[in-house]
Amino acid sequence: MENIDSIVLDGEFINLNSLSIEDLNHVLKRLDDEKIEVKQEIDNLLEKLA
Amino acid sequence: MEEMENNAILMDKLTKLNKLEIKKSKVLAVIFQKTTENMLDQKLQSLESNFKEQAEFYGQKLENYEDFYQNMIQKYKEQLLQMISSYKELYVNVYLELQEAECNQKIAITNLKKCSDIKQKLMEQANINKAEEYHQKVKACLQKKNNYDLIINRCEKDLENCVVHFEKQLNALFGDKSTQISLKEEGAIQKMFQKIRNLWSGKTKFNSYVVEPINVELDMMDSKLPDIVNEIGQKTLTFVAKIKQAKSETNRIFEQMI
Repeated sequence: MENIDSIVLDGEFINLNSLSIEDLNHVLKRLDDEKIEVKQEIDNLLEKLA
Repeated sequence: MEEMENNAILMDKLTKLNKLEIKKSKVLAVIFQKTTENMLDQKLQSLESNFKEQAEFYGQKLENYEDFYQNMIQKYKEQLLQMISSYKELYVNVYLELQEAECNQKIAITNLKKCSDIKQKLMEQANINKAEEYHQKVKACLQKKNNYDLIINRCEKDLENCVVHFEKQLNALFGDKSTQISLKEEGAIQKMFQKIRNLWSGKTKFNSYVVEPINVELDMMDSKLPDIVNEIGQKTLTFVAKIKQAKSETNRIFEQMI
């Protein structure tokens, strides 16, 4: 189970507290990129529906 | 069949988006937490080490200043914690608005899909007028979703800015103590002269150049802090009011469109 300070990334549990701020910013950037991708896919679907 | 497939794909994407949003909020929260902790440690450590180095430079024993030292650290820590606490309040408020906006956006997307499905069925039944009504609803839901994109982006930007502003303001108010060290006498002869000078005036100079300025600085900060904390509180209220206004504007546009 994920708890407040851990996330699953590439199938692995990552304890966020064990990462440096620099590493956390890398993770953040990656999540941002993934989010943009998923949002784009949703937008494409919605465009078809509208 | 295609409708069910599209439903499944959309649900899958929304679930993915939700998971990413949760992960992102966790990472941002840990970045904020770590930044505040690091800054607090850094400021306290530099004050402690600066005080010790100055005492050594003026040939003063730390034991003689134990009460002052403990009181200084305690007061400095309390002031830093006040700043941290007001930024935490700002952070939590921005986060709550973000969470609500993300949730409302997903509701708008789900409603869009529902309206689109109904519209499709009405078209098949050749119920053109009713189908047009649902087409309008689909457009309204899409507009709502797009407006929430703007609100979400604004909240995310403000969450990240919260960390940046906190660092900047803390550095501006609580300067780097490690750079405020008196000239160090490097050579052996200079060191010897400093020792002699310390015998005559070390205590007086330490009091005038170190103890007194720290007292003045702590007192000044005590009088400045309520205004600063109040300013951050105002910033929080202004932000929340702006986002609430944007959300009600989004709802107004939606109502107008359907």
